[in-house]
Amino acid sequence: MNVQTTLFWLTGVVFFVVQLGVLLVLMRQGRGADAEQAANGRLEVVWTLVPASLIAALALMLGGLTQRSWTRPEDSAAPRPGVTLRWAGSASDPVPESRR
Amino acid sequence: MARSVALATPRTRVLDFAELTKPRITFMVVVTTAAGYLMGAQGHASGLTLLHTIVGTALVASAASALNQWMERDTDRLMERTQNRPLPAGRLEPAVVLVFGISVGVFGITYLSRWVNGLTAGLGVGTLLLYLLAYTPMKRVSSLCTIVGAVPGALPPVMGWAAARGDLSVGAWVLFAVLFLWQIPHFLAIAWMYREEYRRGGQPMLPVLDREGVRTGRQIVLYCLALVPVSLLPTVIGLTGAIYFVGALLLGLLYLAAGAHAATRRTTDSARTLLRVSVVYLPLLLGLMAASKGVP
Repeated sequence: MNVQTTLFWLTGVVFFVVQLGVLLVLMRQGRGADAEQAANGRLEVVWTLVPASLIAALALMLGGLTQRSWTRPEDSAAPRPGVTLRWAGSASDPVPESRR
Repeated sequence: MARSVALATPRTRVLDFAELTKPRITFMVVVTTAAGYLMGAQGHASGLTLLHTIVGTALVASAASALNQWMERDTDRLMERTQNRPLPAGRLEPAVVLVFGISVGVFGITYLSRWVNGLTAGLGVGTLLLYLLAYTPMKRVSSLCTIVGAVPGALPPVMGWAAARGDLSVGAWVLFAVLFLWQIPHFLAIAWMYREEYRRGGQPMLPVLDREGVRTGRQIVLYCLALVPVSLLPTVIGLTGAIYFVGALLLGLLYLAAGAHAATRRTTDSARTLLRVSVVYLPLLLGLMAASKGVP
């Protein structure tokens, strides 16, 4: 595992640990809270779960567990050559597949 | 002081219509769309298609802003931050703005469909509908409107990607996730700075419900933390290389530091600092991403 991948996983683990901590704090605060605080606490639980859900969805896509139309194998290939812009006017301009 | 309708000249009328489009936001939408296009493009990208994509997306974003102001004209009157907008100040008629917004939106979608592709146009429709029919009404109901509103806010780079490739592969969704997570601390900082105005306007943003700012601070830190690994994904999936990785990591840590500072201080000044950092973070990250594409 190279440095980049290690750092990526490390930052991800830190996020999930902190998120778990926040959820635990919210659960503890919810006990014995008045109605308004309890409602705000439930709201904050939703706020807290959203980024983790998003990251989980991305992980599923990257893991190729969703339909093939969502992922392309070449997306995880080595870096492709950089993009150069060309202005239209020549017949050699590539036409996107969707417009063929 | 608001300009009187009776004093309106052709020039001021043009300026009022321009103000309806929220030019600064539209500009950011265009920048993120262009970034999505450049990241999605493979080999020689068509400059003309990029231009069409930018024009079409700008039209859709302008329509969303104008129609949002039409929908919120009564609430805008109650807040100092928005009471001088063309509608609450009476410089433009609601019916005129409604026709303007719908016309620009329809033209923008048609433009994208004709000159880019149907997928990008479809995403434009989705962005408009989410922004106007989900986010805008929800602003009067729940603080979760910020999260709902971040979805259409994160679609422009997906539109750019779709314009370049004609599909929605994983790279598009990585860009979506970066934009989505970036928006939350950004908008929470704004909401904290103007929480009293949002309270007067009857909009239950999180800082309005959370008078002490503890919950707001917690969520700012959490979303900044989530953004760090997500912003590193372009390198992990092979779109960019080491230079982007290091830059994204440093920028992410800077954003997190600003978020932590705002969460601990919970002052208007610390929120303003976070807002400024957020406005610097995004263009730098996207610029680095585009410049580093394909560079190991």
